[in-house]
Amino acid sequence: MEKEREEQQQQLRALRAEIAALQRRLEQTHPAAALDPERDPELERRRPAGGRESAGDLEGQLGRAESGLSFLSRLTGISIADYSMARAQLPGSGGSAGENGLRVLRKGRLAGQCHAVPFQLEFQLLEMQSEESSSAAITDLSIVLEPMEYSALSRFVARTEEKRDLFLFFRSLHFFLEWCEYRQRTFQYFKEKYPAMVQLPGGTAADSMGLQSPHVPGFELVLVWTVHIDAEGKVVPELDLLTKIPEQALTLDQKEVVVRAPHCFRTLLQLLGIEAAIDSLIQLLRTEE
Amino acid sequence: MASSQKHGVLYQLERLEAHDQRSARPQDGHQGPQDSETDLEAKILKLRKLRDELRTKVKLHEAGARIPIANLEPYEPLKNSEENLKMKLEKAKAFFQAFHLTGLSGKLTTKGVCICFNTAFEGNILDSYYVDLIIKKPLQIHRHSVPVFIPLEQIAAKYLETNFQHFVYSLSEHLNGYSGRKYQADQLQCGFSAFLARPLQRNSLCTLLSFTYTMDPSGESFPFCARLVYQDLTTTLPTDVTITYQGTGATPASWENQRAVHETLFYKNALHKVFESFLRVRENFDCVSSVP
Repeated sequence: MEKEREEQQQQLRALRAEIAALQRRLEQTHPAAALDPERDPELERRRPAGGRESAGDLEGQLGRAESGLSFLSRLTGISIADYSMARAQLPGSGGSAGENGLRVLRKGRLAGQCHAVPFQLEFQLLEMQSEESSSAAITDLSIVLEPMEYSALSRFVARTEEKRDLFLFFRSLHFFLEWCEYRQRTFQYFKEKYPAMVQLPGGTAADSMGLQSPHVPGFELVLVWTVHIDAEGKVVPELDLLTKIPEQALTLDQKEVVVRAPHCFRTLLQLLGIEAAIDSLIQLLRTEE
Repeated sequence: MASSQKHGVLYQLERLEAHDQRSARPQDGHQGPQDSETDLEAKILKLRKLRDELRTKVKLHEAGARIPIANLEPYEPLKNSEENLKMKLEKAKAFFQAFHLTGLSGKLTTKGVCICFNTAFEGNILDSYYVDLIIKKPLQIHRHSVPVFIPLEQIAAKYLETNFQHFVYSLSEHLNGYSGRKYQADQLQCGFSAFLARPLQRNSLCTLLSFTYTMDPSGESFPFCARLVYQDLTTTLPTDVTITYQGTGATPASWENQRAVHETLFYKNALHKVFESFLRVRENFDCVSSVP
């Protein structure tokens, strides 16, 4: 009898320990829940017991929510202008509870700007919850980017809609726009520094920059800097050097410098980086006397 | 869900035990060994039930914790509303949550910031990770849930001080790359095991996958031994694909042709998509061969 009692006591102790451990896990596993501004413990303490919130309290909450928003906007480069999400009817089956558990379909709309490029998207989000697991998937995605200054983006948008990869859209868009901005700043910098030598036929936002020697007319080096997004969504900048040399000069080129120029430029890029490589090209043209 | 834990489980436990003690007490004096046994048994049963409930909760919770997007509340901006304080607050809160849809969200904490990275592959929402930073000179990573084989320290060393936005996006690239590769490997392992002659082998970062498969379910045809290498940690398509034959003897020309085709397929398509196409080929073949 005693032995049985002891065993039972042991079982009790083990159960209590297991329950305490499970409780700790419950508290730990939801760090994302900690990102809910609603669940601010300080806030819940300050809220009056009656449930009616004073204007000052609301203002404080609003201030916090808005500063959180502006922080996220600065962090991601994305600002949200419009958002809505609502439950939708599941096509086909009448009820939402099927053999595989609960299914919920939501339709949403998100609009805003990414690095000053406006976007609008509509999506459908399907959530499936069974006893063991839950999962979510984007089942439809439609994206509108405007205005389409960058033609490389339209193919990217079409591919992303097909793959329904919403996060990839924002990631690739960010890297693409960052590269375009960097290219623009670089072109602008060189144009301001050497106005006579640098030609920007398409403006600073275009993908090519011409370099002319002030002393030797007819010679032109054209730097073509494209930014494109590959099939996987990876942003790839490519720099190439083209040469515009008069035919007479070409006949004098016995060392085939002109032919090798694009290849040499690529090596220069790898060694010096973009800005230093362009600078050295310009210096090359300047010293021609 | 966490808010419902207001009265913690230990508190519930104590209440349960107090209740048991109270209900046991009327039989004052008859606390013989037999009564204590049934008390204990009843207690054990109750605790077991509670523990099982908790287990399910934790399982669901941990599964749901991977998908903060699933917690997005429905939100419809009211059309004819005056923009009073409450409306603005609801809107700001909803927009804040909506950031999860961009794959990057976060919040200001007492000492710094906590960034949440969501990952997905082709529309399937996958695990999310967080990085908790303390604002100090220099910026410090306080806690994080990034797997140890993701080069977090290297990315931080490169960008954390100089370009915080780039740090965040670069880490997001790595996490999404890993998540996508893992998803493909899992799909292959679970969904197409009938094709695999041997279990799939992979490293933790899922940048090296090795598997042997056959096109013929009876296993009579020559197997293909595939090795996929992903040199770029941010991509979900392999950079090197090699398919070989591990046995002795020569392989027929038909096998060689298939091998070349398969290699191209693996370079350009997600792993499970390639096997889906194999399945379609096999099904068509079965259809054709069953026609009298």
